[in-house]
Amino acid sequence: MEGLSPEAAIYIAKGMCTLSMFGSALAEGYLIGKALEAIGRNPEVSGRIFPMMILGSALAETSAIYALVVALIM
Amino acid sequence: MNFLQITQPIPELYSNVVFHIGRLPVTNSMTSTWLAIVLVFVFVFFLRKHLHIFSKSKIQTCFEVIIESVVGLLDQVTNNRERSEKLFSIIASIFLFFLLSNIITLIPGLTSININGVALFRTATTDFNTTLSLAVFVVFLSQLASIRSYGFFAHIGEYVQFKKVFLGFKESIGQGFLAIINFIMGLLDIIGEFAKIISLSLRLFGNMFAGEVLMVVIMSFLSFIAPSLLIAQTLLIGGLQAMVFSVLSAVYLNLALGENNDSESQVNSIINN
Repeated sequence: MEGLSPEAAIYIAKGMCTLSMFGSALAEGYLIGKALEAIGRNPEVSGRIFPMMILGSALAETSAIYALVVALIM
Repeated sequence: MNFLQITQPIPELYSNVVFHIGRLPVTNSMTSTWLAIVLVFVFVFFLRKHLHIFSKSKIQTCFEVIIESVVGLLDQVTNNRERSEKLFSIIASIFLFFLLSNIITLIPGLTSININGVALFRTATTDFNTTLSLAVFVVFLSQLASIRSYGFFAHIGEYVQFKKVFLGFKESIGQGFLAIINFIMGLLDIIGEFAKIISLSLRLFGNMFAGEVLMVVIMSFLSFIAPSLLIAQTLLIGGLQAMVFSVLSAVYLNLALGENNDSESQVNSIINN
């Protein structure tokens, strides 16, 4: 590992930050799937489930946003 | 020759000083914060002057829709109409302020006003100080509300549970060790309060800053049609994150206000009907 410069290490670390997208995408897919299931089972409450779904997906995005902030600070 | 692409520097994390008032440096995020505040005031005073019950203006209908949706969201959080009316004023003002300051820089030409080479306005929420100060305010307010509803010593006792350890050991050894575990959990709650501040502020800041960085990246690919899609996304994200911030602060304040007598009020409404 002699040839690895500090800048290259920074770029590798920034690339590793994108791994957090994996968890965020999984969470969002699961959440929206479950919400659609609930709406399909009981279409009358879709007006109450839909805003909660949007809220939840915004919350699930958060971990990816933290990783973005870390990548920007580096 | 390269007219399809515009390369700009990636926006900085900190905001720049525009001018000084006395010794106080005024940054460009401060100016846009005050612009948002002034706009909210102007809207509100205009609305108060032209308030009608029957011949509604369009802007009044627009604000009524916003207020109705905020009250509806608060009802889902608190399950209690009285309490959601109590929380409404603070939550709605946080929501309106963040909504305006997130989307205020979409006004064309606003960010191109320069004073000595420094932009006069910048999206206020892409400065970490703005979101951090509002998050600190919300968490401190929830602490104060908790002290007011439970009393000072009961509030401190939620975090440092000496009394419960004492009572647990008085009962039996097993209960005492359970109480010690609860004591450590209570100490972790103190860290949890700080984590609330960090997560509330970083979420909003990160989302809005990511929007700005994405805009620069897209402009360096194709600067003609693609940015308009991103502007639409910025509108959506701005409204959504303002909603997330205000709903989460409503949740914290609702937790701090303690148990609501929801079942009691429901019983009362059934009896009255």
